[in-house]
Amino acid sequence: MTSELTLKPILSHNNMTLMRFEIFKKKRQNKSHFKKKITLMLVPHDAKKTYQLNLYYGFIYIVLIISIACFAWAFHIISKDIDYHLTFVDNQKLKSDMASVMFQVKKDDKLLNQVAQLNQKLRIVLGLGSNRKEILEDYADNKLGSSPKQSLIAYLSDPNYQLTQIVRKNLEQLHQEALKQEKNFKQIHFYLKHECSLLLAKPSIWPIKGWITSGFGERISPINGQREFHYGVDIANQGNTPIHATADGIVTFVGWERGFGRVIIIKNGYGYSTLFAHCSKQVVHEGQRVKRGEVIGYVGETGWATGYHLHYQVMIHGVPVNPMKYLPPIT
Amino acid sequence: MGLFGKDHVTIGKVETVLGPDVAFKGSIVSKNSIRIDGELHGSIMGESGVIIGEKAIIRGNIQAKQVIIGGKIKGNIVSSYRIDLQNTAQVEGDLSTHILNIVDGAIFEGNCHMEEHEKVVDLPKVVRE
Repeated sequence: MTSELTLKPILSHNNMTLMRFEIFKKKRQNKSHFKKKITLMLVPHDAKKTYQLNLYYGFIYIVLIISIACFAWAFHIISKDIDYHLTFVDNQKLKSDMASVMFQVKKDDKLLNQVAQLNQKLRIVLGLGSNRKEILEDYADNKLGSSPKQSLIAYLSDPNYQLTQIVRKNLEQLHQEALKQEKNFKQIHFYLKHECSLLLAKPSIWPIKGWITSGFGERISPINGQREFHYGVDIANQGNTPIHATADGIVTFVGWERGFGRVIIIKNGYGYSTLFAHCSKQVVHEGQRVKRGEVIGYVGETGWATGYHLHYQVMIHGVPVNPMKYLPPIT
Repeated sequence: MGLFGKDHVTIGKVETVLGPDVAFKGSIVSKNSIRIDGELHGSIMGESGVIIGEKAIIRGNIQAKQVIIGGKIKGNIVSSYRIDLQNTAQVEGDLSTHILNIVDGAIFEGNCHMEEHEKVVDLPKVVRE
């Protein structure tokens, strides 16, 4: 519709009831679409007045645009608000998570400290061993509470810390500390292993139960009556009493030797070797690995012997030493 | 009854509005509801509802399912369901309905016939030419 129609009632003079409508066509005007008008009528479903609104299209468009903008704005605000709340909740959750992680880290740190202390103690205890110097040096190196970590923990008490960064740093620190402790414990393990094998190599039990008939040192030979040096101890017992290896080692010699009769020599390592002579029987062979307490032979009187006994000799780097040092006292 | 109650269930979409500055002579037949605010000299036959505005003046009979009256009427009103006389109503004529509602201030002169049941038929067919 490009033109507006208006109705004008005109009462005719002749008949009052007759009505004639004349339609006036308004001049065609080149109005833009925005200047055209529209009537909105509100009709109530009772006898109350109707409402008519005569509006420009432009106005309607403006109202529509404004209301759409309002809605969009409201929606934007609401969604932002929701977003904010979601983020807020998320953040809170992360914070609490982080706090728990921090707590765990602190706990671990404490634990690691304890482990380090334990390490120290172990080192002190084991420091009495052979490679004491080395271990004590390491011990000095193993001092606790290095300065960067201390400052870090102090930094953590500050409420303005960068949580993730701190956690990462602290974890890194913990990792380093753990690695260090692992290294330390490995050292201790190695040391203990060494000590252990040393202990295993050291003769420390009686080869047979019995009584010592002749000790280590100068004596008068029972065979020819001359003075001689006795390089071992003679332990007497009945024939065929089993002889036990006094330390772990490898059998290096099984055979007959003049004077000693049937003899067994075991190389125990760490310079130690043990010799068992006058056996009636040898039950090991050369090259065999033996454990402490294992039966290697039986008491006899082979060689130059005046009765059933075992000649037991302990040598360090081939030099015979007093075996009494390596026999536990009889209780 | 509330805003969306059953009161005006028969007043559907108001299709035709006779404006306040309109005078009309002749009978009106409408299928949908019709509202009259001007002057009418003639009868109305509506299938659903008829609303007579506050300033309306009608000389003639009205026949519809539901009639709501707020103006002046001189003529008989036949409703198959319900007639509402609002406080500005002035009716001079007979009423025939199932439900009658007269508000304080309404003027009614005439006979009233109440139907016991809702009439179903009795409505004119819409004539279209």
